[in-house]
Parts: sequence; C-alpha cells; structure tokens
Amino acid sequence: MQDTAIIDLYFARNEQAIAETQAAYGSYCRSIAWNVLHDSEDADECVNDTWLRAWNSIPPTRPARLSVYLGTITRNLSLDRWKSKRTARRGNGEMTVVLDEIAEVVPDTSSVEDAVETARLEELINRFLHDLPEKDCSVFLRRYWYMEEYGDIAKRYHMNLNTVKSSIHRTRGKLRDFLEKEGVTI
Amino acid sequence: MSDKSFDRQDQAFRLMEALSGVDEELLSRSERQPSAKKKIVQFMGRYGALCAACLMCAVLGSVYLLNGGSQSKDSAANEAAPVKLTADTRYGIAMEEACEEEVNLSEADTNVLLTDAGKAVNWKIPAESVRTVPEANGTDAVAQGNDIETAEEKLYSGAAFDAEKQMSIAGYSLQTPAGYAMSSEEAALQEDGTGVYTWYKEGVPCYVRVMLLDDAAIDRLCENGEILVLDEEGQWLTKLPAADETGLRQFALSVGNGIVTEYYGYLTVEEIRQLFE
Repeated sequence: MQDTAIIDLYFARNEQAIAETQAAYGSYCRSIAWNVLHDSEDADECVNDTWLRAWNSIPPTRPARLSVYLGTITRNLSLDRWKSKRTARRGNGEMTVVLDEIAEVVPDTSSVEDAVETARLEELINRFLHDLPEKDCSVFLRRYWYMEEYGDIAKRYHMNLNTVKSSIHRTRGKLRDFLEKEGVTI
Repeated sequence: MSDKSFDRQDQAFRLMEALSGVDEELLSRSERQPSAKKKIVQFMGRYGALCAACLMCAVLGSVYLLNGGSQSKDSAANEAAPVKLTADTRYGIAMEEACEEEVNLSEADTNVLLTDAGKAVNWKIPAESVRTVPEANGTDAVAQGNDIETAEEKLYSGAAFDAEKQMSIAGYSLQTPAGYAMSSEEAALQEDGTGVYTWYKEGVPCYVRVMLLDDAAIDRLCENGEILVLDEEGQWLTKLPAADETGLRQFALSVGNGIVTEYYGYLTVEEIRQLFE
C-alpha cells in the first residue's frame, strides 16, 4: 500500500492503518531498534510503541515521508530505552561502540548542553551534513542515525570496508572542526 | 568505565539525540541504493580500458576463426596473394575486413560463414551419396586441423576408418589457381560432411567440393558417366564437359581413396589440370 493510503487510514482513524504500517515498515523499524538495543524483546516493544505513537500523532501530523517519520520515532524510543537501561547494564552491541566513537566529537570540558541548545545543535548538524558530499553524508547517517555496522554500510554502497571506515573517520574529524568553529568548544 | 568516559558518553548521547533532527531529505537520500546505471558508469570508468581490450580480443578471435583457425603458418604467402574485393565476394578475406569494421560479428555468425561456403552452387552429386561419420566424431575438430585428437576419438568410438577418411578431406589439398585468392587454407566443412574450397579472382568464384563416397557409389556414378576418374595420362581432361557461354564449367572427379571432388568455376582446362594434378 502507498504511504498516502496508509496515512489516509490514520486520518480516517481506521485501525487497519497499524496493520498496514506494520506490513510496510515493520522490519525497517525493527532493524533500527535492534541496532540500538541489541535485544529482541526491547526492539519489539519499541516497534510496538512506534505504532502507538504514530497512531497518536497522525493526525494532526501528515508526514511527508512515512518511513523517515516512523524511523525517527523508533530511533528516539530506542535511544530512550537504551538510556533508561544503561545504568542497570552497560549495553554491548553497536550503540556502545557508536557512542565511544561519537564522543570524540563532543566537548571535553563542558557539556554540550551548556554550550548549545539541542535545537541549535540539530541545526548545526544539519548544516554540516548538507555541506558534505552526498556519499559521505549517507555513509555517516547509516552509521550514526541507523547505527549500522561498517560491513553492512560497505555492502549497501558497494564500498570497501576500509573505505567506509576511513570515510566515517574523516567525517567525524570534520564535524569536530565544524562544531569547534561554531563555538562548541572541544 | 571511568566517570570521565561515562560523562563523555553522556555528551555523545546528546549528539546522537540531536542527530534525530536530521532533515528527512538527507535520510531519504541515504536510503537509496546506488542505481545499476551508476554502477555501470562507475565500472566502465574504472575498467573501461580492460573492456575495450576484451572486445578487441573477441574481434581478433572471430577473425582468426574466420580464417580457419590455422592460417598463420602460411599467412605470409597467403597475404601476398592479390585480392580484389567486389560485392560478389562473400567469404574469406573480404569478410575478415568486414569483421574489423563490424565488431559485433559473433562467433556463431563466423561458424555459419565457414559452413556456408559454396551453398550457392547447385552441386550435382547428391548429399545422400556422401559417406557420413557419426556426430560425435567432431567435424569441427577436423575443420580446425585437430586431426590427431579426432582420430583418437574415433578409434575409441569404433569409427577409426571413417575418421581417417574424414581427415583426408581436410588433408586433401589443392593448388590455388593462378590469379585467385583463397578464402581459407582448409576446406570449409559443410553440414553434409563435405568440404568446400573457395577461391576468387576479381569477384569471380571458383569452388571445389571435396567429399567421401562409398566405393559402390563411385562405381555407380562412373558407370553413369557422372564423374570422371583422375588418371596419370591426363585422359580425364579430354572428357571434361564443355564450358557454357559464360565460361562456367562443372564436373565431378574421383581422385582416389574414396575422395571425389566436384568442381564449379571458370578456369581454363590448363588451369583445371594444374589444380588437380
């Protein structure tokens, strides 16, 4: 079913919308949740919560791209769940590795929160990503938005594994320089 | 994990959360797989020279096959022969040059050309009279001059005698008539098991079909006066049929060992003698 038809079902408050969403984007959302949590039960719960949140937010929201909209919800829910469970158990999986990597970018002495508002940070990141070459940007997002493993990214873009790693490493360095230049002290 | 690194992870986590606000457009773009067309362009960009080299090899291979596969041994002599190409020139060197221009000539096309020689001729000796050899004997191998292998195969298949006979078609050589250019060094094997030599002189063709016949068939055809028999005294030349008003002459000649040749061309009697003797 087309996205517009699914969204119309939401607007009509037809519960079939959830079944159709599940059919169209179930595995997509689950892969996002899995990459963050590395736990089947948690991932399934996040995906189910995604459908609920979509049901509650559409309408009034009419997503331009349903996949991205649902993916963002799943990602945020998964990050929240990961954070809430973090103190109980230090998660393994890709999320921990990804955080260690991205920590290179953030300030060393003062918190990001102190330096910039979250909204401002989002804006800066968007600006930075828009200025990147398309492929570098996509590779970066596959790693830090979808939290995909290097090997999967290499497969997706038919790239050499080391090329992917060096591309991501370079982009991290550029982001750090960019944030520094924009006043986020490192 | 130390407190410091724990804090850094906290801060990194904030960055990860901020990434949730990435433009949908960028995320959608990252969803797209590289298109096949783009991949082909990338491939051609990277391996274009290699592809061109492979294509050139394929073309040269086709030309090599067109020449019967083993012309290189006497190529210097053959290349020295004068060749005049006309619209009537269907095979051989003319086609080789055509191949260089039309690189898309496939190997299958080449094989058809090799086995098509002389098909325009209305041969007198019927195909039913020709001794056939089993399919597995591989006339292609004979055409490529792979005689030893073919003979071995036939020995094992119990058809060694036929193999030797078949090899003799390929081995039976004729002198290229003066002023003519031959299209290939060996007889082009036909579907009916015969081999056809083709020569051209200013677009005028000369064909000699070489075949194996049963002794009984040869005897029958001789009795009927349909074939001549080569003799050392040259008596057979006196029995040659007269040429028609265009100079075309056609006859069959038994040359021994079960080999019968059928001639179709515009040679003079003296040229015919030189051809067969």
